[in-house]
Amino acid sequence: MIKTDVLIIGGGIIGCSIAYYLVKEGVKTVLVEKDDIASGASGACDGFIFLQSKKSGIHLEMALKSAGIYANLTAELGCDLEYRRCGGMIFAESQEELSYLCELSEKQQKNGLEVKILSEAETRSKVPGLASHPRGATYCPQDAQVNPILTTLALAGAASKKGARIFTGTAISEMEVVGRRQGKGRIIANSVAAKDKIKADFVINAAGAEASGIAGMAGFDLPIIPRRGQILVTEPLPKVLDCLLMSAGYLAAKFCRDDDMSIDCGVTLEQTAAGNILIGSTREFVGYNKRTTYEGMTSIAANAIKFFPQFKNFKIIRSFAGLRPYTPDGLPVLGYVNGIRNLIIASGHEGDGIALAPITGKLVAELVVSGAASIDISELSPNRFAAERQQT
Amino acid sequence: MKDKLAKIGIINKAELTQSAAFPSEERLRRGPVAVIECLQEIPCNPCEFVCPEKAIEVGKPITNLPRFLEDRCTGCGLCIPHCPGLAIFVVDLSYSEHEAVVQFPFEFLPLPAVGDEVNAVDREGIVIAKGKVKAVRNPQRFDKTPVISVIVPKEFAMEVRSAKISPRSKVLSPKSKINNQIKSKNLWSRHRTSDVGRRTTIVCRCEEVSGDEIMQAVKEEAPSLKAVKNRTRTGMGLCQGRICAKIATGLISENAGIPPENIKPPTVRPPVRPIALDQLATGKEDD
Repeated sequence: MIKTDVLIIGGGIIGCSIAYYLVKEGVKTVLVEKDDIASGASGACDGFIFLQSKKSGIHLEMALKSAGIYANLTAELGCDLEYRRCGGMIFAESQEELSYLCELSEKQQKNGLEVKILSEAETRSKVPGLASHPRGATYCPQDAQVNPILTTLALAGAASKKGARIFTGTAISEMEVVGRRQGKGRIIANSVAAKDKIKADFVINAAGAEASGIAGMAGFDLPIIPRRGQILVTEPLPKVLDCLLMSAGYLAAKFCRDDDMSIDCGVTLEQTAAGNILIGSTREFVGYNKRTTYEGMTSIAANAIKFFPQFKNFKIIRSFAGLRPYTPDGLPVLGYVNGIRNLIIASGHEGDGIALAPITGKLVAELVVSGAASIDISELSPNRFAAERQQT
Repeated sequence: MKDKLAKIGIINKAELTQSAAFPSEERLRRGPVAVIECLQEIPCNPCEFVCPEKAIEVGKPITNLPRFLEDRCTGCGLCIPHCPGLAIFVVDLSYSEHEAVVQFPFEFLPLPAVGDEVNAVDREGIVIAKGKVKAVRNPQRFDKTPVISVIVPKEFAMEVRSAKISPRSKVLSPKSKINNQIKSKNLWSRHRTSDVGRRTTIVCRCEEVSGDEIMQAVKEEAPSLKAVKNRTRTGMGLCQGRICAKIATGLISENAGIPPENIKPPTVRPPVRPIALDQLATGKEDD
């Protein structure tokens, strides 16, 4: 039997961030990961810390707070995270998309985001090589990029240095809920590899795309499903892109479950510190299949050339895919579960896991230490889906 | 220019003669000289370091094609077994009035014996002439890449690039060959002799990761290729681990005490080799 204050399930960027903020508060923490640190979506994504893609309200509020933490995280962790406040742009292909972006940014400005509308000419002068068809864009200088793998490893390393115990190659096989009848359910988790029970005062489900399976072990119905994102990697190139780029179509596809849009859904581009350009992405519902496909790759390539005709001779050296944890309303799941008083869910960030990891870690640590978060996260409650189901 | 090579994997003569590494006719007539048939911009440069006369230059970036300073070349042939792509040969047109000698790498079994008559083949593997084996060199420092010298009629000197040897002695079955490879578990130490060499030698050439950095990552509880990749970028470069994965596996095996066959190979993802964005988008072939 392993006894600990907190058990975190999942060694992605969310789990590692939570572990870091917990041990910082002096909480005894165990993290179990069935594979390796950053072996899931956190190691198969781009490094967008994108603020202007967030809905105004709690989503943007969290992103702004997270961006503030990121600005000092390199110094705090003492490792190079390849963090750069490079700015980001969403371009519109039609007047319709442009007015949608204007509407979105107006609300975001009220939340305190420095986002502005760029005319066609301004857009083109900021992004050399852009095709002639985009009608304009929104630009936010606060958008930044980071290396997600390095950040996850650095958070895990810092947590472990401060005393967190991290077990990789260790899966949770079952969870016992005791005392549910008295309305005071508690969880005891069993792990396969450790052949050990883990008794924790709090259990945190940070299993990303696999969070629903883990929640199911505790008898809780969590509607998080995997959504595959394929990404192309170019050879290392001299600097050709300064800021992060996204087409409005990609943002729209986030809130759309239409299968026609899942493969051909716009484009994102980011040049990493090493010089490779990461070109994304698809948003497909194909279960737990992590392979890249011919259809997905050709569609991403065609979209990239449509926006950047001059990139046509850049060489692609690899493709990869990650499973983003999708939620029906596009918002992450964060908070206590009704009926089991020591189970916290912290998953369902879909494509926003990297951007929201620091603030998620901080908020979960607050939930554990003081019982409540410093900002109102009731909108993100894991119990919101049950309420919706009852209404319909 | 790399038309043939890209389409069918075989270089044609026009492609070769345009290459910066191709020796002049005048130099060929003077005696043994290296013929470097390397036209793919891959991250690779052992030829540059093994040449005692500094006749081959790759420089930076490591994906440069080799440049050949033909007057420095003595035709010693050391570059032949050290080219991982088996793309270097030595041709001696001065051997006799009607015959020339071609030296080529030969990684097949059985090896021929001096004096044997062999079927000399061209780059496509088609038999084009009879040849006579003049020498078989297979010292330890050639690291299991024997070099065969064959005497052929002069007109075939620039075409003959290997030979077909009929089985004569007991041939090892492919299975036992693989077993032997796995048994020689210390894939890494086969290549290195000194500790200093081990630590500073670049294992992943594309991302310039040294043996030391990989060993450090393994020490930080990362006894898998994927974990080493995440921590050091080993295998993230142009070659996608096709060159370094085996050596990195040997290093992980040695440092973590895990047999190499128990270390999971890297995840294979398309494309198999770098492909231009528009080729991928349209499916069209090279121009």
